[in-house]
Amino acid sequence: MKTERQETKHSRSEVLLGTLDLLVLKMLAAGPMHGWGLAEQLEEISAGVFCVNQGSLYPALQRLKRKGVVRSEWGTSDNGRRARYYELTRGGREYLLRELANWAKTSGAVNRVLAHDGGN
Amino acid sequence: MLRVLIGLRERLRALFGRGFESELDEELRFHLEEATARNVRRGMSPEAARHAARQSFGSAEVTKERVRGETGVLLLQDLAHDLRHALRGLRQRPGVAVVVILTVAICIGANGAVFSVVHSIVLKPLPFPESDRLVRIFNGYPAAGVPRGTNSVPDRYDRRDSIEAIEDVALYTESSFTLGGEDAGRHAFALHVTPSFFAVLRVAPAMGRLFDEAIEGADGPRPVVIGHELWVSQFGGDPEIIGKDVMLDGLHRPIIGVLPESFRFSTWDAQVFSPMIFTPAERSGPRARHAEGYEMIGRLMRGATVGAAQAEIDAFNQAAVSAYPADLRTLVLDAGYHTVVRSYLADLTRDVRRPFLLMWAGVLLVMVIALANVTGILLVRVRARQGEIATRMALGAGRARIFRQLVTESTVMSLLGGAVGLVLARWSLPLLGAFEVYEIPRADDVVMGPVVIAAMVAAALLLGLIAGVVPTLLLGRRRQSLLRGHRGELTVGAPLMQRALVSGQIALAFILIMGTGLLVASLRNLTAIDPGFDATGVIVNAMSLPGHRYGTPVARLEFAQRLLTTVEQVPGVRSVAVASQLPFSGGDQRGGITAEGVVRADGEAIGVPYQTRVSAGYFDTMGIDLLAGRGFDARDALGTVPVAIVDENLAARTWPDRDPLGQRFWQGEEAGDNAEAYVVVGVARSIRQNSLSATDAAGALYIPVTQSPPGFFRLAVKLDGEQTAVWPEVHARADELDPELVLFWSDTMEGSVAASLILQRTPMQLLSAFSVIGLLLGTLGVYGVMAYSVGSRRREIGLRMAMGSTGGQVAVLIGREWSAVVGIGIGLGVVGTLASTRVIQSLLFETGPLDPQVLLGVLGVVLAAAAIACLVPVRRAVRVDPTTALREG
Repeated sequence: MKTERQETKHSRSEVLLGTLDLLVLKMLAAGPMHGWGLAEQLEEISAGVFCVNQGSLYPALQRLKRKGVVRSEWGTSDNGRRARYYELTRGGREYLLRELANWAKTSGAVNRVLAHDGGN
Repeated sequence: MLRVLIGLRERLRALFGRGFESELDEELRFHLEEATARNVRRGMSPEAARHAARQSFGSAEVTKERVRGETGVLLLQDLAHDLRHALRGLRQRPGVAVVVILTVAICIGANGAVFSVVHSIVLKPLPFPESDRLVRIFNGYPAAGVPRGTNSVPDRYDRRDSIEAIEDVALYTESSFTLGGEDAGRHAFALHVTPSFFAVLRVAPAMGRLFDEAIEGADGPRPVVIGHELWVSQFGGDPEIIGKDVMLDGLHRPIIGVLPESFRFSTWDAQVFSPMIFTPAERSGPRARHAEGYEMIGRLMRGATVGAAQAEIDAFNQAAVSAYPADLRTLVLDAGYHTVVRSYLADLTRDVRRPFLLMWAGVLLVMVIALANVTGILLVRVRARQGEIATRMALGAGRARIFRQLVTESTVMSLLGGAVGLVLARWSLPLLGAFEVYEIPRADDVVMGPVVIAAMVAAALLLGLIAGVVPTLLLGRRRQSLLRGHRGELTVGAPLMQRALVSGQIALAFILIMGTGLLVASLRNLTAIDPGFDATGVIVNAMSLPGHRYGTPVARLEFAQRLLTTVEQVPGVRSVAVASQLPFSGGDQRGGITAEGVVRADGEAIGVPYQTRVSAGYFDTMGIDLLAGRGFDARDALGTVPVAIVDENLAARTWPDRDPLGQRFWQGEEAGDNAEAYVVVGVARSIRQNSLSATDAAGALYIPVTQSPPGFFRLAVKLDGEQTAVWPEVHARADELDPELVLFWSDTMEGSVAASLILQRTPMQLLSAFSVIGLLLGTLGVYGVMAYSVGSRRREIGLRMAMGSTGGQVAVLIGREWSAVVGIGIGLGVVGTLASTRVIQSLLFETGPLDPQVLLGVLGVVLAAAAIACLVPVRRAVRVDPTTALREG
């Protein structure tokens, strides 16, 4: 039973893998932010569209750090607490632009397919 | 590029950053607290707010697992984490860790020490530039009883000039000088070498210059090169030594060079090198080509092989022999004349290679037993930790990750054990002296070098990996039941892996102990051999008479007789003798003889007997029986008819159908025209000359010192019983005779015989030690697996006993299962012993690979150990109260 649950979780995060990274990068393009702040924004953006387990954010951030597109630094939050802030690296900005272009292309292609399907 | 660097930094931070885990904790805590605070702001009660925050976050543990999973695809990060986890695990379960670390430490310690020896002696290249091009060359006449002879002067020029594969060769012969001058009476080992010697070895002088061909035409006293040790001890490290003289045998010899401190050549620790210069007449001619007496080293051309040099020399010899006069041609061909070219290292280690490889094999067996042992321990431990592992899996840790973690744990333990083992090995290197390892030729330079350390670290790493991986295979199969949280299910019979471990350890211990037993039996057979002489209470020494003061036979004889008279008068001395060589003292001077009136049949090789010049008291002192005729006495003086005593073997070979007494013969390969013939006056019992295991078919020839006094001789003194106090007195009295002369190489005859067995004894002793270790480890290993196996069957046993079985019946049931496993182990051991026959047989003496006595003894030992290892856990299991056992499950 546990195995089944794991598999479900896996398939969902796999679907989100690419988009979650892209969303995080896009949010960070506006400026440095801590994990909680990103989670809040994500909740607003995605409300009603898809469900994000907030915990999934952290593996994604670690993955982006490993890729070198995001770096982190400990800073102080608005309410004066110690928090880990994430920001885009210079490579991260280029990466984001490239990925956005890719996304536009892919989603455009998907939309065309879907539109075509709809036409039938 | 930059991103790669950042990624790398990130990985390193995850790896080394002390706070990776705590930072992650803090970050997630911050998140949850902020989320809770927001929920409160939205009007929830604090408790509901916290609950909602947790819910939308999911499991923090799962998140952490996944973040760790994202720290990198490199094994590195996981390794750092696993390492921390492993160390924590070790601290929590120190018992298992200590046992594993100790086991590995003992096995790496033994392996490190033995591999240091094997590497230093057998494997390490010689300390000369491009030493793989160095070869040893010698002529052999196997049919005449000389399988390994020496080389002649023409060989040196022929091989240098006519063999393309050879760059240059050098002749050398061992000798000694009496050092004169202020410090009279010191004795220096020397090598007489052709000027090419140092060029062949590619040695550069520490000071001055070495020999070159130009020396051959130079006038005046021949210069010498001295060793570093002599330079320091005799000349106090004089920096202006070059050009000064050294007194050798009373002659002033200019020193032209000093060798570097590191220079070592063969076991003859020569400190004086004197050039040999040959006249053109000595350098060629068929007779001169077979007047051997020199060792030869050579250097191959770059790129040439030993095989190529061998083939060229074979062809050269064939062409040369075919041009000989007919009688010489048949003589050398019938004697089996041929030349052998061998890599220098292989030749130097020819006798020690096999014994050392055997010791190595023995200690590797200990390593494999240790591997099985550790595997068994970890197997048991993995099963005992099913709960913890299931929890981690449930938290989302990947299977691969659990595997890695278990393997990291075993590897950490093994590496720790390896580190301790390296220290043990370093400490135990001097202890190997107790096994006479350092008495073995070439074994004076044993170090634990970087190669050994690297090999041992690799071995420990490999051991840890294998011992860690094997139990996880079991984990893979059992994963489903682990996840369901099943434990203590009713198992009947022992799983295959446990049985395999038990059989394997028994088989390995059996092979090891069997090999040791065979060596013990073989050595016993060897020492039971009657050498043909009685060496009880005989001490032996050497003395060398310098040519400048004892140049004539009369002077040498006069000294020898004075020495004999003096020593004979020492109280406690029963008899005394001098001889140009003594049995078991390393000498093997031989020379062919030609018997009068005996025609050598076609294809029959001449005999080349062991020749020694002895004083009248020799046969008494050495306890050699005279079978016919007389011993030497006052009649055999200088200038009278030369006489000789032959041994049984020489008599039988030379005069098979005649009475040897009164027969005449000449020294050399043909009847002497001018030389006087020797007359046989006695027949002595044949003795073993240098090896207990080899009879000498060529026989021995004894010539009286009185007719041919040698300049270098051995002194044999037979004492009344064990009077060690007499020994210094003998030395003192002998040394008084001539202040320039000293007795050296003192030993007992029994010691000399024992020393000849070192290549049998040392492997036997070391393997005995390894057998004890192997047996202990094996027994502990079998015990561990058994204890666990029986322990995990407590429910089954409890059930059986609850249903009426007696403890005895259960014990028999389990015993029957395991006796099959033990039987398989012993069967495998026998197969393994037979498979290793090829390695061990050449080291055995009159002992078969399955010697029944040894086999029985080893079976007894192994069965007893297996019985102890099996019975103790079984006894404990059947004593258990059935209700307790059943309830526990």
